[in-house]
Formats: sequence, structure tokens, C-alpha cells
Amino acid sequence: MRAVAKKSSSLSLLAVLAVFAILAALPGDVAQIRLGPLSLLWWWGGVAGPLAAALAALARAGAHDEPGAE
Amino acid sequence: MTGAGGILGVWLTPAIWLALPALFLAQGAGALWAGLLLVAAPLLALSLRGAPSDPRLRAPVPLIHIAALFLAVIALIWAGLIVAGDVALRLGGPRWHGIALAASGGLLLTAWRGAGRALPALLMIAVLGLALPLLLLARVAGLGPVEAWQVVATSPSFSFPPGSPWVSEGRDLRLAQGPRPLQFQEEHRLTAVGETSLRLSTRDGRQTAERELTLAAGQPLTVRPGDRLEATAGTRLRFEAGRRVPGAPETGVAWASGATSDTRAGFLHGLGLAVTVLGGGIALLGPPLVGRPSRGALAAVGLALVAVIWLAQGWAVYTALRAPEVYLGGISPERLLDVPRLVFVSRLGAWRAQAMLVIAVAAGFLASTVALRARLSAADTTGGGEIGSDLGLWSMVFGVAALASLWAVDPWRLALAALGVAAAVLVPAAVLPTAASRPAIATAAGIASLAVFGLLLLAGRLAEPGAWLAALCDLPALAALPAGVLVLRLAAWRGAGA
Repeated sequence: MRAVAKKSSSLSLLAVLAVFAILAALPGDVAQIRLGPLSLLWWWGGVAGPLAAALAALARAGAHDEPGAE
Repeated sequence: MTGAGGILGVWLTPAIWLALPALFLAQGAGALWAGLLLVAAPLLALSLRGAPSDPRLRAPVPLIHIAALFLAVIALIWAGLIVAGDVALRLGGPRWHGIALAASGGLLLTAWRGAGRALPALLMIAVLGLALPLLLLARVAGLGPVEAWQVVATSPSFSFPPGSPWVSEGRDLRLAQGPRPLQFQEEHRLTAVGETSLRLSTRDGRQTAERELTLAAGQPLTVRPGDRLEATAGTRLRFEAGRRVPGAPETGVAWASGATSDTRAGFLHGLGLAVTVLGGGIALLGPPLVGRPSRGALAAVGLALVAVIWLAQGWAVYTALRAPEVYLGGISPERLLDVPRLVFVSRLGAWRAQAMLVIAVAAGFLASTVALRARLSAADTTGGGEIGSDLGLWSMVFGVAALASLWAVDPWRLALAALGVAAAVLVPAAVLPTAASRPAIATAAGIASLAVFGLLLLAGRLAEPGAWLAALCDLPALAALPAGVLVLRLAAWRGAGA
């Protein structure tokens, strides 16, 4: 049960999470700054982040596994 | 098991997707992390390289891994049955009616060999059942989701609307009350609808006094900030319009920012949630998954996950906007069923929207039982996958889970525990596959993880841990998963030194 990550896809997904964590941890309530109607935190965590995660996973989906890989 | 239906069925059990709107409603921005993790986890698991499609090339899965997966599947089914029971209770029936109906449906699908073919239809029904009432809610509100969010995020308080049934006719307080008594944040004048018995806990400086009260029909009672109210069976009360709903966030701004007072404990809790959800996703949907999902299946999974998190936010925003009374006594997932009754003027419209939600929960539960059994079959390479379709075994599982679900447990926490167990036992082997290839070592690591998990869970129940330890006790995978990795690492060093 060896899990060799398809690195770029996995890293992109982890980057989506990391951006949210950094944004939430920024001092001075930077995450609460309104960008149009929503705050930055809601834009990323609720709207753009999930979409970016789905696109990141899909971007690498065309590649195939090497035969016999485990 | 590599089709979009199978993947979504495993991941989106009702205990998880129904908890999301409740989390958004209760915590606002505090729930964004959980939502994002729930979207990212299955996609991350699917981006890991799957097992070869030829079963002869696949390494056998250690028994402890099958056992942990089985435990997780049972706990997820149990959580689904709790939701079914809660829904029945909310509709005014006995809990066991919902539990028995859901368990019977799951068992019938076990007996049907072609149940996998019904998965896409069941999931579609679940999504439509969640989306259509939301569209009706948005129509009644007359605002788009972003405008509705703006209104909620800037509202000075969540207060009782003048037309609310809680204000006009009064309702049974048990419909509102969660496990804790109602705590009032501001002065409030309540009126008994019929003869009513109450237990009121008042604070005077440092002293707390408790008294039993009996009110006649129409008799008022004034409560002050900090007072706690516990109702007895059949307590019907009317609340004052324009007053803050007990249990609601202080302001819309506080809801939208999701700020917590203890940032360090909040960080540990967030980390624990990440380990639990991402690890649970890898354990349930990562290797050994038979083959790899197609690009189309992955696109469908991604789109469905995005749709679910958007729908969950939509439900939370429109509920906070149009039915803030739902906050009364605290939020639980099945409270969504109350929203149509509070918002729609037409009884028929409310009934229809409520029926759609009930059908969505039922379809989601049935889909999850089919998909979870298929997942277990896919991991059981040595037994030829028989474990997923053994009618005797599943009769016992549904029976035990149904009995257990008569005991009221928070389904979201139970689902997290299920994900945590699977993560703690299976993920260390994915991190150190060479060390885990020896069954004895994989078993020792699995037992160590389970022991740490169980001890922390028990400690959380028996003691009152501080903020740091509370995060570990709430989400024990945070310590149990590294414990498993440590055992595997030690075994690898010992093997290299020998």
C-alpha cells in the first residue's frame, strides 16, 4: 500500500489549504478586509479555495499511472 | 469504487454534509477551514497513486487495516442512523421510527446485488433535495447569496422576527433546546402559553440560585442577562420580538469573522481537524483503491464537492437572514428541517420543502451505505470482497448501529471519530510503506495508534482537560497517527540495524 503522491497535484491542493491557514493567521485582521462584497477569508475559504482545489485535482487527472506501480 | 458515485457516497455521508450548514450557521467563518478540508481531502486522496488494477499485483492489506476500516464504516453508518433518528424526532415522531426505517433501507440494499447501479440516482436525489428548497428560500428572501451574506455579516444582532411562531403563538421549548439550558444574553420577557413548569438559574454577583417555577397560561416571566432556563416536557413559551435569540452569535460581524478567544488552542484544533479529515480521506479513498478514477469521474467529484460547500454556505446564510430563531438553544444539523416552517407562509410550501430535505437525507444515507460497503470490499483483497455483501454480517452491523443510535450522540463528532480511527491506523502505513509491508509490524503500529486514540478519547470523556489537551482529546488522530508512524519508524531502524 504504497502511496506515491502525484506531487504537483497534491502540492497544489496543500497550497490551497496553506493559503487559507496563512490568511487566517495574518495579524491585524487582514483576512477581514472586504474585497467587494465578501471578506478575503470568505472569498478564499468559501468561494475561490474550493474551486481552486477542484481545478488543481483535475489539472493532473489526465496523466496515467505507470503499469505495475504500487 | 472508482466511479464518482462511489467516491462521493463514501465521503458525503449525511452526518458530514448535513453538519456543514450547521457548522457554517453556528461558527460562521470558523467553519470555513472544516469546509475547505472536506473538499480537499478526497481530492488529495485521489491524487495519490492507486493500487494496480490487477489484484495479483496488489500487496495484501493487513488485517488490522481491514478492522480499522470496518470500524470506521460502522461508525459512519451509526452517525447516519443518528441523523435519521434526529430527523424523525424533529418531525414530531419517535426517534426509533427514523432509525428503523433507515436501517431497514440500508439492509434491503445489502441484499440487492445491483445496488451500486442506484448510487448516482440516490446522490442526485440528495443534491436536488438540498438545492431546491434553498432556491425557494432565496426566492422568498429576494436577495442573491452574496447580498444575503452582506446583510447577515453587518447585522447588529440575531433577534426574533415579529412574525416568528416563537413570538406570535409560542412553541414547545423542547423543539429549541439542545443538551444545554437556554442562556440569555439580554433581558427578555417570556410569556407562558399554557401552564408551564420551568427551572430558572439566576446569577447574583458570584452566587448562583436555582428555583423551580410554575407559570399559569399568559403569565409573564422576565429573565436577565446570564440567566439560564431549563424547560420540562410540554413547556410552551412566547418570546419577545426584536430581542436577541439565546444561543445566537453576538453580532453579524462576530459571525462573519469567526474569531476565537484562544488562538493557540484554536491552532491545535485546526491542526487536529486537518490531520483527521485529510488522513480520513486518504484512508477511505486513497490506496488501496482499485485502479484510478477517470478524468470525468474526478471532474464530477470536484464539482459535486464545490457544489456541496456552496450549498452549505447558502443554507447557513439564508437561515441566519430569514430564520434566526433556529439559533435558539444552539444549532444541530437536523434543525435545518425547521427552516421551511419558519420562513414559508404557505403550509403546503413549507411541507414540500421539508419533505425534499427528508428525502435528501434518506437518499444520502442509502447511497453512503452502498458506497461504504463497496469500499470495504475493495480493500478486502484476500477475502475476494465478500465482506461488503455478507448479509448476515451486515444484518448484525445495522442492528447494532441502530441500537447504538438510540443513544443521542453528536453525529458530526462521531463521523470525525470514524475518520480519525481510519486515519490513525492506515495513514502511517502510507507514509512508511516498506516498514508496514511486514504484517506483524503493521499490526503493532495499528494497535499502538488505536491504543493512543482510545486513551485520549476516554480521557476527554472522564476528565475535564485544559484547552490544549482538549484539542487532542477531541481529535485524537493528531497524536494517534504520529504514534503509529513512530512504531513503524522504530521497526524500520531495528530492521536496518539487525
